[in-house]
Amino acid sequence: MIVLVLLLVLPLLALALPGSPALMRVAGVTLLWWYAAVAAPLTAAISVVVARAVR
Amino acid sequence: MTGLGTLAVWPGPALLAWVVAAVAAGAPVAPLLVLAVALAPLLALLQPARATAPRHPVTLALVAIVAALVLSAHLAALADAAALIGARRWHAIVLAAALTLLVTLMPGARRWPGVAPLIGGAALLGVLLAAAVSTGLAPWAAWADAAARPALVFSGQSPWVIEGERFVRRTTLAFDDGQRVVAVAPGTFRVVEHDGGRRVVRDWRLGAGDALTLRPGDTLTVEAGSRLRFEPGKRVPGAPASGPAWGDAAPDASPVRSLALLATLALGACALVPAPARRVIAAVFIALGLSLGASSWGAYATLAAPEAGLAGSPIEALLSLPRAMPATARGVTGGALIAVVMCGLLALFVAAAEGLRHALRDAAGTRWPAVWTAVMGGASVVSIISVVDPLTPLMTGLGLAGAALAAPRLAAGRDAGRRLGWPVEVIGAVLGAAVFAAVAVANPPAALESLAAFPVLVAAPVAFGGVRLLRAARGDARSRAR
Repeated sequence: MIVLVLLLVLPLLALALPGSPALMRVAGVTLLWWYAAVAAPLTAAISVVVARAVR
Repeated sequence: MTGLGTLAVWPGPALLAWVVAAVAAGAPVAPLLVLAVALAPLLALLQPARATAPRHPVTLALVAIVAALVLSAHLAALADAAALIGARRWHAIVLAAALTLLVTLMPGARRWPGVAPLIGGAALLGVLLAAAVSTGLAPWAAWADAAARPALVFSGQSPWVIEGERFVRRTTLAFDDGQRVVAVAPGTFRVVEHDGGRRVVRDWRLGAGDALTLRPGDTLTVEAGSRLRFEPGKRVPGAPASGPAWGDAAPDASPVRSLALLATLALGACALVPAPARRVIAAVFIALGLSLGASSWGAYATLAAPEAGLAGSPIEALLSLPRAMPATARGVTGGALIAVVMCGLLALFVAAAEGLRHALRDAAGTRWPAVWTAVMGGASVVSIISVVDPLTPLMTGLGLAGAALAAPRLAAGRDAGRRLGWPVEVIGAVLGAAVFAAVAVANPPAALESLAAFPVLVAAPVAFGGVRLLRAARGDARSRAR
């Protein structure tokens, strides 16, 4: 649960960083969008599967 | 209940339309919205399991209000979709409510809880694949193409340019460049001009075919039901200034509003999505499909129809994609794809309603059929009478659910006991609901406007803290008794 909460609030922290690293583009898409649409949901999904398996 | 059935309460038509519309419009909050909508139900799956919720009239009333609000949001989205394709709003509402009551009250239908979300998901995925085939672009390539455009303009093939489109509700459009708009049907239009720092308001009564010339910086307020035609090659009013501005989306999002959005969605999901007993993998794939599917849909919609948010309803972003697609090689027309989208939305509504029925059944016990019918009937009547933005009842419902159901439940744990003759969790629910209502109707100073817009930010901590205090007081009393 803590991992998921961290994944949720991480972009808020990243957007406050100087130089806007979240807006760097990879394959035409910003890092923030890669994170929000792909990386974070995938990490969250793996975390949930692992957490349920451990229980 | 299966994992699929458990999560089906989450991606209803209003929520899905909101996410797609935010992505297509390049809304500052869009990336966080996609993230929160995907992660919130997964967070709910990891809630601590509890034996049974205390059955109490207050809990039942709160669950019924939340269910009615969420249902009316989804019904408003379906009604908007009906209005956009030229049907009557009430036709869609009555059809959806009757079908859902039939499915949820029919004993045999409950044996297949995963069928409705599967139909809804498959229908929308099919349209998304058709968009990929039709454009010949993968979602990230469509995204990159949309983000590389110098400006988001009306294309010559847009229905807003050819025959003009209808506004679902009263909308104010801000024009960045000069444009001549034509009224397709008679109506009254308010133009606000900024002449050398002076604000000039003019009301125009136009007949069919009359034109109105707007200058950069003007705003035009259009009443619900009006129809307008725009000029090809001109910027879409209210759209981001350019493709790169659309792709960047996030820098202007206010931290307080972003946090409030995350809290509303996460706590709302914790209230509505119970921890499932099995098939977590299926639930995980739904959440992933939601984030990837909604982002991809938004990218294709921006590429094909950047005017997707013009009509004043988020559902337009979902319908604009099949509308803008050319007939594919297999002869699938835009009309057929719109019908598929409508069927998918109807199936998602039935699935979301089935999830809400489960929550209501847990609170109502054996009386659930009567309560459920009353809730569905009430939500339908409200949706027919009042034409509201689906987001308003959706955010109110999720916020209230988070403050009055999720926060006290998370604070109470397994056995919080009773105080003053009431279960502690129920006292927390009353506290959360009262604070939520008080903050929502309060008229705060400008600095605290975000709190009034998202009362869950105040109500949830108060409910959580209240329950924790009552639990601690009970623990002290027990220690003294020993």
